[in-house]
Amino acid sequence: MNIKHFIATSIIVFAFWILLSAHFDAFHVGAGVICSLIVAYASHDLLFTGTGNHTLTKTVRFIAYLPWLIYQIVLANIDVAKRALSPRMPIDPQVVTFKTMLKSDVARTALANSITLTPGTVTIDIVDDVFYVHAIAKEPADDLLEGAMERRIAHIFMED
Amino acid sequence: MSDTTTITNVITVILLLVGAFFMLAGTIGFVRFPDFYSRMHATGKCDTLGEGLMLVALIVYGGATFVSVKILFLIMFILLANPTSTHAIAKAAYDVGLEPWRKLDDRVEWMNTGDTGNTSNTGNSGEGRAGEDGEDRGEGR
Repeated sequence: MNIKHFIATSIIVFAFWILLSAHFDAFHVGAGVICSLIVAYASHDLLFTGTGNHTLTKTVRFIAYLPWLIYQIVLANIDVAKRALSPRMPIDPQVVTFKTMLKSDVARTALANSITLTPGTVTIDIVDDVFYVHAIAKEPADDLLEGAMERRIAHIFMED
Repeated sequence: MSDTTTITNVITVILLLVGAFFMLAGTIGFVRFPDFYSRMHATGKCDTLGEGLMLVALIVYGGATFVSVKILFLIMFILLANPTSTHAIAKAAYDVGLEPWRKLDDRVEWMNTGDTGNTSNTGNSGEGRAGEDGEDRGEGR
């Protein structure tokens, strides 16, 4: 058991407890300390796996990625709302596949979720390193295959 | 003091209305879109932003309290859980063999090649049923 990971996990879990409980009397804080220690003992190897490096850089880059992602989510919603409300309903669904260059599970999960959240595309399946993506029309599929999002994710997780 | 309250209220109402609009658009899309996969687009996306905007409205209204922090965590969980569950449902449908709906001309082509190729029968019949449904809707508009 890595004592540094154990302490760091306890502190994070306890901070989360304080945020959620919002009570500062002895009983609640004491219960929080005990629960944090038990949870941290059981799960100290989940939060910090110990295998990754440059964790701080990745975290900072991921946070920097969020505003762009939220902007894309807004675009996605306007796009879907337009297609849903337009009388002609301009949709032409198709399934596209592409090979990814991302290696780690976290990076692939981030890409899959980002694809689902952004304009007109939903990730259906990942088989080995091939993504199956359902696109609502041709333009979103073309935008996806152009690969801007994959490059951003690769940059975050230092796989470029 | 009352000025800031007014501004807060206006922002809250605007955010709630925009969120409700996206929820409505998502629901209309859910009803109008022809097949399972395109309906996933409507529900998976519009719910995320609709709920997100409404929760942000509550944060603006409540101010900087512990409850606001909890709502912030809710938004983060929705951002994580919504695409994941959308993906899980879509993958389940894909694994069962549900064929995505195509536009009319594409679908006829696909069915012809499917007949000559004589591949999976279940896939063809599933496509036929989904296709007829889509066709009715297409002609109705």
